[in-house]
Amino acid sequence: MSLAFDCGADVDPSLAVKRAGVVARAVCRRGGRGEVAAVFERSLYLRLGDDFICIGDPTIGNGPTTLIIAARVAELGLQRGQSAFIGNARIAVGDVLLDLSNCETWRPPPWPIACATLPGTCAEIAQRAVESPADSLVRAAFGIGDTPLARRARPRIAKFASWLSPPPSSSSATADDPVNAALSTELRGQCLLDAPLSRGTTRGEMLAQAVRNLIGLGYGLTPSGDDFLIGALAMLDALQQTNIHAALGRAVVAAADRTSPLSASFLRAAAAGHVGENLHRMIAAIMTGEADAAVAAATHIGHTSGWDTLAGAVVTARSADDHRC
Amino acid sequence: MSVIRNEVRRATYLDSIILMRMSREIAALAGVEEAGLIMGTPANKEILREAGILGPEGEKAEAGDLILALRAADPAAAETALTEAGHLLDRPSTLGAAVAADAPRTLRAALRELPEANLALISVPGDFAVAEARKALDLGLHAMIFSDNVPLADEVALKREARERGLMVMGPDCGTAIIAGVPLAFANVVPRGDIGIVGASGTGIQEISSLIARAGGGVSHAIGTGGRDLKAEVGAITTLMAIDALDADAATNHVVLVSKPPAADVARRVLDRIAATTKPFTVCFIGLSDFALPANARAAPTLKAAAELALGRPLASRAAAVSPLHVRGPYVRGLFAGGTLCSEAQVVFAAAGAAVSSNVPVPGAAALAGAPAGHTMIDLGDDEFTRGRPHPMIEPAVRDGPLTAALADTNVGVVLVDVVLGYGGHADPAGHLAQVLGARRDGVAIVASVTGTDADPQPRREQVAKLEAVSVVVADSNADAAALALAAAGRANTRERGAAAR
Repeated sequence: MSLAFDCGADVDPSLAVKRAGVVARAVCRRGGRGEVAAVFERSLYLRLGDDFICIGDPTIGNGPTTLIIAARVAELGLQRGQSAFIGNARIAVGDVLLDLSNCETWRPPPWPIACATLPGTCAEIAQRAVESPADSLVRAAFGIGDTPLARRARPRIAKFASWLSPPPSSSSATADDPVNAALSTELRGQCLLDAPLSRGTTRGEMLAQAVRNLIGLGYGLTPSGDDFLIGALAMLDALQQTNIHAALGRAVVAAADRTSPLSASFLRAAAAGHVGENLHRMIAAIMTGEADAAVAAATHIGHTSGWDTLAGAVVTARSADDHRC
Repeated sequence: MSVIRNEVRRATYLDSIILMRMSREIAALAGVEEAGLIMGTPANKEILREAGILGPEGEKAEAGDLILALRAADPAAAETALTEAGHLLDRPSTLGAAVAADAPRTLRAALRELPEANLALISVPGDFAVAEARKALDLGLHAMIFSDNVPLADEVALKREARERGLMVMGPDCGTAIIAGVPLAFANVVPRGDIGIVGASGTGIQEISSLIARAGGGVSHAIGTGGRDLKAEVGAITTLMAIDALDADAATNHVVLVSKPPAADVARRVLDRIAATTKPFTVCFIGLSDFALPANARAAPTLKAAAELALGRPLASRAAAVSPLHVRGPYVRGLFAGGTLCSEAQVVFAAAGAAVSSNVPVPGAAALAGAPAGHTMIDLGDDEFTRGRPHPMIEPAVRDGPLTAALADTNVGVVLVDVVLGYGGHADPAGHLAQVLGARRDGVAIVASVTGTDADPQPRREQVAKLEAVSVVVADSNADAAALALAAAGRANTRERGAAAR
């Protein structure tokens, strides 16, 4: 396959890519042939095998799989199914030529240190779940609403939380903590039998099952369960729970064929420790005790995606915080 | 007998917000009993199976496929619904093709197609708006910059360059204009008339022009300036040029100027310019009441008052005829898509001596700190709500969360909302609001204003009917709605005090 480009007189001058995420840059470095998988108002997705690259204007925010360009995507005139060729620091798709030769590589800043008020911040955010859209997973996580998705998701989130939690003490299930309160006796029994961070067969199976239950569950471009898991991975990374992050990352990658290929690419990036700046802002706000800022950040990510990710982060922070005591 | 139908779109990715909107639209189609539009992952197929709407086609879907599953009252209804749903699903995917086929990709190419054009409307990310505006000026075009997030220094430089060339830069962040009868960006369909409007406020122009139109008047031109034009740094460059233009325009007999309170020296410069004209002016510096005016100008404290002064007669008001409201809590929570409508509501409350707070406070109102308490007016179009997501005039679901929170707050007795119609806005904002509100009220009165006209793409009459069908009280203007909400909350206060006394 030739990756040479024939820039005829009809081809517009190339568009400069301003910034590239680390995953997107790696994919472009490898090169190859792909196609336009989706076109939205402010962004489009190129698919190359299992990988997706998001190309968008600066308003979408930087991310690991994102290329930021100086143009409105809706006006490029590209359509789903068009072929794309990547190589020589350039992407050709339709009559658009993107030039990566002078782009910066974007990486998120380091995570802040978690402040002592993390449990209080999480409780405050849980109280704000009522502000989320009716079909969000955060309502299921914090005991609000009774949609079909919430009914299905609630025990699955409880199972995930039980994997994260250390053996429960008699006081761990409280009225204001519906996730812990919803844990079944059976699940608690399993927790008691296993050391919190052990990687015994039982806990490994429990993790795999918890992930398989959540992955691909729910509405939207990225199913809510996937957003939940991405929030969990990001929070574990922020809390430097390296071993647990790695275990969850492996389980997520193993189950990635149970969700859409696009969402799977986001999950793989999160499992490798890469998140976008909007999510980074949200997690950092939780870590520094700014509940209002975390909720505000959540409302700016997708329809329910921000809230679903927030649910994963808060459920994880509550459970993982117990490990740090 | 009910029938199940599934349609599977292979490897189809749609934006989440569009997916949710389509789901609602499909579920609302005639004869549809239940519907789901969801990625075909194993977990989601379980949900559809449990709901009893997963058919053999849906069973075969893969994780990257989009499943449309529905149950309809009968086969005919199912087929009709599938066809309608298919149209909805095809709509966004044809966007790229339509743009490619019809729209020029550069300003220069657009000018080749329309050589007599004299204005460029620029709507690109803020980082690139300045460059596009300079291109427009270089081509001899006035520029209307819809984009926001343009640095103030760039705005000043652009406007000075334009002034030297005799061109006008409307904006940045200029959401509304009506030039020679043509609505631009967020604007309403109003008849031509002899009233000119200069506005640093988009929804201010919309409310005033709509009130004028509904009262039988008309608008010659409405020139947006951008929200920062009357700041000291910019010095009202565009406002002054717009006043010059309307002063020279034979079709304009009265000019309305609407803005947030300007810097003092800028106000003086603008009022001096007004004094030099022979035409009557109405000045609405929303939130500012104590300022000296030239003899040919009168001050309007509210947008409604501005429309009345421009028309030369009071507007009809149904507010006094609304039956008494029964509200459970003593406070009003205003949730606004329009920033100036939020300001106007604060002015109404402050003028009545009621303490009010806001995330965008006018003089006399308090800055909102932390969770809303007391009478609170929230501008949902402010940057904190719109960064990275659509403006609430485009996507009314932005209001859903704050609305749900207000309905759950037992201190809130009245929720005050605005519905803004016209080009650029959502196709059915009242329909969305009515769906969210449903019949559930729990002792909370909903009072609304609907900015727009019956000639808008969303006819006002139909939008009002949708709200009234779910017991929303619709006032004739935003100012009337604010006054009505305050009066209703006042009755709750009186009841509360009475109960306490007993």
